[in-house]
Amino acid sequence: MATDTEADERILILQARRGSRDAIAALVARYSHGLFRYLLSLSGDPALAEDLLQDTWLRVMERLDSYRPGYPFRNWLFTVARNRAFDVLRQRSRRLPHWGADTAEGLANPAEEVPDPNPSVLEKLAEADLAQFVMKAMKSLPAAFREVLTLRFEQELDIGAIARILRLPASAVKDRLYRGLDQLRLRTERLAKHG
Amino acid sequence: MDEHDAVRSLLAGFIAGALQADDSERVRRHLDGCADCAQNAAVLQRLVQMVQRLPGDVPGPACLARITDVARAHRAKVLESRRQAGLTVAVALLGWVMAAMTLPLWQWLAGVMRVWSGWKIPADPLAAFALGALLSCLFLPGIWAMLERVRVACKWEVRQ
Repeated sequence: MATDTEADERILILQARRGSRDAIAALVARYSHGLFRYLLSLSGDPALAEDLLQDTWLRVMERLDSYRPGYPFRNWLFTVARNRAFDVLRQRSRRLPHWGADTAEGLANPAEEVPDPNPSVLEKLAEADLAQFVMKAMKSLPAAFREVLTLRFEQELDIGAIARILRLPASAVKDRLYRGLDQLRLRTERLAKHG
Repeated sequence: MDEHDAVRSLLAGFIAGALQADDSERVRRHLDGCADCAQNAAVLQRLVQMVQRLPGDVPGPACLARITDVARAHRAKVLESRRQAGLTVAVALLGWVMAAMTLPLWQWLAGVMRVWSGWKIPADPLAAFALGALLSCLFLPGIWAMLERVRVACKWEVRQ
């Protein structure tokens, strides 16, 4: 049975299909923050992410009629955003390292993956300091890792949904996820130790 | 690789919720008895919580308002072009229907005006239909212009 939010969303989508400004404004307000954070994780540039966000909504307006109500709207939006981002980034001849590969193999330096047997310096760090280091470490991660970490932890999508958005097997998503988390930890620790 | 090292390599997957149920259970059991791994799991958990709460840029209200306006205008264009496409199909259908309906009239006129007294509607339905389609080409521009005039007069616009 559909929840109130889902029913409300369905009504908004129907009204947006007919061109209602209020419904489009409500959808844009509801989903733009999450989409922007995701697009930022792909592009690494706030100005470009804003352009991509607008492009995404334009594409959504074109394809709104092809959206099937049974599929979660948010996941559909992220799929549209990802496709749009890749089109634009390709046109701008940005380098897209390893995106589209089935696994994240080769993304990480194997030497970095050796777990440090010593107690982590991250335990003792204050929240504010840790936030700074994590933010820097996230920015330094390969895009494929940053993407899955953003979708899983910031957007709280499940692995099945991420796999559909990335068009990858769930096993490849899991692989990227835990290797990405390992990398995030190692890079955050390195930043905490050496600044 | 002993159990400790094996579990250590699974910790990130465990925290990310990316393990199979049996591996998750294995890690959980190990964490109950291993302070070192429990500490590592806590560090990873703290990292994840930090990622979830990371401050960062978000689009401002002015940006969202601009995107809304652009998106709505684009949707209006999409609906308008679809309306035009529907109108084209309707005009084509109407043209065919009118051509088929007026075939006897054309035949009668041709007889009266002695233009071509031998002209008859083909008995074969397919041939009659083809003739109707051919004649409809003569009607289409007129019907299109007429419907456009009606549309403009009635101010049919895409709903805002």
